[in-house]
This record gives sequence, C-alpha cells and structure tokens, in this order.
Amino acid sequence: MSIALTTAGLSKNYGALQVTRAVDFSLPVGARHALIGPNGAGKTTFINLLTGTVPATSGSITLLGEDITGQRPDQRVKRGLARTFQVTSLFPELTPMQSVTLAVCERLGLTARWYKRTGEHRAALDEAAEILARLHLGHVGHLLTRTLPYGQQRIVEVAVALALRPRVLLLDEPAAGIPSGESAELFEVIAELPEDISLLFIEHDMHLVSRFASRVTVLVAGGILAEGTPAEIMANPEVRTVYLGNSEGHA
Amino acid sequence: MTPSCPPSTAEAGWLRRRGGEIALWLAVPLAVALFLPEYYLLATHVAALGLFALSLDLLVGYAGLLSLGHAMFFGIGAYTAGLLAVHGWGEPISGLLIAALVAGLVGFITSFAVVRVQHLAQLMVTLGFGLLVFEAANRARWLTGGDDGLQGMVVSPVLGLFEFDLFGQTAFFYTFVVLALCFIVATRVIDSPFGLTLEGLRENPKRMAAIGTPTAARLRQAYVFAAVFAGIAGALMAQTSQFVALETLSFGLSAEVLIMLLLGGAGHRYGGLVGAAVFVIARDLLSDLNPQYWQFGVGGVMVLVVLFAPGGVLGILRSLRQRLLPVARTSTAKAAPATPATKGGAA
Repeated sequence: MSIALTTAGLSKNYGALQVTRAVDFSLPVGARHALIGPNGAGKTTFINLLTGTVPATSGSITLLGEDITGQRPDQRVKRGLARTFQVTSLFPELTPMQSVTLAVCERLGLTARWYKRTGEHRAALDEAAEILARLHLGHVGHLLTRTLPYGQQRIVEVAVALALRPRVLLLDEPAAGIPSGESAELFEVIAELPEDISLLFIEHDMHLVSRFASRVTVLVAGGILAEGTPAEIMANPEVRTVYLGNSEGHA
Repeated sequence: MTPSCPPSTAEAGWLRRRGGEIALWLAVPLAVALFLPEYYLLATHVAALGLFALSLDLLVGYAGLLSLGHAMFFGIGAYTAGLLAVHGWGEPISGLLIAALVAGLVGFITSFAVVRVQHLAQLMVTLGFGLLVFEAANRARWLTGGDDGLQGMVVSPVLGLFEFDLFGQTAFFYTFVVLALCFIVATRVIDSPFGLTLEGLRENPKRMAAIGTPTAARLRQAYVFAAVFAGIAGALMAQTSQFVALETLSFGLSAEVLIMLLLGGAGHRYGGLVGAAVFVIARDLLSDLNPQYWQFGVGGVMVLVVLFAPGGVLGILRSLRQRLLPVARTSTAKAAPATPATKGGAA
C-alpha cells in the first residue's frame, strides 16, 4: 500500500509548552482516517503543522514522497494538500460560484493573469459549476456566501477544497456547528469523494467516525495514544478512560 | 448570450450594461465641450484625480490593502513627466509611459515592505514612504525646485497634432482619453481571475493561502498596478498644467484621494471617479464662497459618509436600486450564474 502522507517525530513547542510530541503518523493512499481526541489534544495544531500554517519545531513531513517540511502553505497546496477549517473560513462577500472558481483558477495557475476576463475561462467556470452541482449547491451558487445557512457554508468549505483536486484532504471538524441530523448529510457528501483522495478528518461523534472511517488515531496531550480500526479503538480500555469515558453517556 | 463573469458587477446582458457605459463615456466629454467649455480645467482635474482615486481603489476597495502614502506615486509620475519636459523630452505620450514605468518601479521596490504588514502597520509603512519621498523632493531643490514647484515644462503637441491651448481643450480631451483607456484596463483587471484573487485576499487572506495562492506576490502585483495608474494620473496632471507642485507628493493629497474614494464608494469601479467629481466640484463651489467653508464642509461630510453611508455615493445609489428592484435579477447561464452586485454596499 503506498503512502500519501507521513510525519516523523513531528513536534511543536510554544516555549516550554509541548503541543505536539514526536508524532509518527502515516496516511495510506485512499485512506479514510479519523483523528480523535479530547479538547486541547492538539488535533487542529497537528493539521496546522501538516498544512504549514504553523511551523514545526522539529521532525519532518513527507507528502507523496517529497519532504515538504520547509514549504509555505501555498506551496504545499500546489503539491496536492488541501484542507478545510474548523471555524468556517470563507469569502463572505463572494458567492460560492466565485469562491470555487477562484480555487479552480488558482489550481490552473490563472490567478496572476489580468488581461482576460474570468468569464472567458469557460473550462474553469464549468468545472466550478460542476463541483457545486455535485455537492448540491448549484441552486445557491449565485448567492453571497454570508447569506447562506451555516450548514451550506460548511459544504462550501469542502467545495473550495475539492476545487484544488487534492491528493490529500484534511477536514478539521467538517460538521462542527451543524445540527447532528444534518451532519450525516455532510458526511454522505464526503463519503462520495473519489477513492484516490486520501482523507484525514477530525471528528468528535463516534457514530460518524465508525461509519465513515476505516482507521482512527487517538491524540492525547499532543501525542498518539492509540491507532486502529474504529472497533479496536472503541474497545481500547486506555482510550475509554482518557477520551470516551466522559462522553459515553451520549455516544 | 455573452457569458457573464462571476466577479463583481455581472448581471444579465453584458452588452446592454457595457452599452450604457460606453454611451456615458461618450456623453460626458461631449457635454463638457458643448455646454461647459469654461470648465475644461476643472474637468481635467476631475479626470486626472479620478484616475488617481481609481488606482487607490484597486488597493483599498479590491485587494484590501491600506495606504496613506499613495500620493507618492502620483507625485513621482508628475515629477518624472515634468523633469522630462523641462529637459527637452516634451513628447507627452512617451512621457506618460516613462512616468508609469518609474512609478511602477518604485511601487515594486516598496511593495515588499508594504505587503509584509497589515492594518495599522501598513498605514504607517505607506505613510513613512510617502514622507520620505516628499522630504527628498523638498531637499533636492536643484532638481525639483523644492517648494517653489517644478517650472519651465515645455510639452509638445499630442501625437504631433493637438497643441495644448490656453482654454484647456486639448488638455481635457487628452486626459479624458487616457483616463478612458486606463479605465478599460482597470476593468479588465477587476474582471480577471487576478481581480477575483484580489477580492479573495480582501475577504480572507488566510483562506487564500489555503487554496495555494502566493498571497504576498499577488498583493505586490496589485500594488504595482496601483502605482502605475497613479503615476499616469500624476503625469497627466503635470503635463496638462505644465507645472508640478511639491504638494503632489504630500500627505495631504494622500488623505484627499482616500476621501474621494470613500466619498464615491470603494470597490465599485466608478467610486473613485464619482468621488473625485463630487470632491473637486464641491471644493470649487465652496472655495468661491469662503475657503474655510470648504475644510469645514469636507470634514462634516466625511464623518456623515462614514457613519451613515459607508458605501459612499455609489453605495447609496445601489441600495436605492435594490430597494426599488427587490427581485434579484439572475442570469440563466447554466455554468456561470450571475451575481447580484452587492459588494461593499451601504448599510
């Protein structure tokens, strides 16, 4: 099985505070991998380290066989690493169509071009429209993003990331803030993603995790506590005490 | 059907919209020539300052960059064209191009520092550069004439045909045509993927990095564009008045152009032009009454605009139109649904 993404000894310190401790992690091509852990375990920091938003203190990150540890976030995106944000991070005054077109244009290397109207780049527009249609956003593509219901904004997050045709997609709590009934809907969209995209997602709801992930990594206090199939993780007594113990009631 | 583009002002009927614009661009100079020939000078000022405000709009309204030193490029363009004309290079069009080049070059060099920072720090960096250049021009009296201004410009006829006359007719049409050409280029920039990228950077730079945009490089590119247009505006002002005042580099002018833009409405493409027209005409009228009225009036109007009509004149018009035409007009183009034009609208 070939590997899409690996980290070796990846660490992040803020002064004396260690938020990521020597994480050795690997994500096979086509994975559906969940990252879980209690609040403050360093899950989002781990994603930020992978994307380069936060520079690593030590260790290395390898994407599709290439060491990307020293690269800027935008360079990593160009190599096939895309993400969504836990707190919706979109373009409020642009429409979903504009936002996705923007991402498509960036992937195609068109965003430095000023001498041709966006409307003349038909292929980019068609592709953006196709992505919106696939994610059931076609009918709201022309509305300002800030006017959309939150659930749809979460899907726009995914649409913008997908427009980059990522090889590895990192989803930071994609369903955060959505009523639980609708979050399954969002995960249906995610489940329909092409097989060759390797997925790493942070999610709290163990039902969703066991339904959509084939493997799970548990992060506690910045280090990996356990890794395995959802069933193994649910059965792991250590995990149950540290993480699931307090949420067993509603799980 | 002509495909409508997603960014900014797209709505159904590209031709119809552009048709109205073209008619307007032809009607304005015609109206000035037929009915207000005694106002050629004023109209020339409006056109040159309108271009200057438009250049600032690319930064403030589109890219979300802030500047309190934009007069630096206006002044550099003016002094470049002025010095050329003083030293025997009177051909105006090549003078414009050289002025644009010099302003663009200075823009490129300073852009590295400007896009490194944001918000207040950006205001300070641009302000600092502006003050540096102002003081340098003030001290280099042998070159610039210092606070006496640059005198002795001899500008050749435009295209070798149209001599600059006493009534300012040539000056007006020359300025207006250059403004129109620059406006076409600016419109193209705004409607391009690059323009869309600038709007994305204004809305959310963090997300732009996350979609793979080299954000600093794009902002620098925008800064150079703005510097080039500002340089052309300054050169127009110098060539048509055959004089360059030290004030073209001043902080006061940087502030005034920002006022013009906010008055007209930032991020509206026409905001700078409308703002410059309102500003220059109001100054002309009020200064005739009493110079103090002008300062007083512009201060009061500015506070009112920022508090009650943050979209400026065009923002007011736009929200009026939306109120009168409440049904959002949408295109039926399947691939590119049109966007109701709502960017930066008034409250």
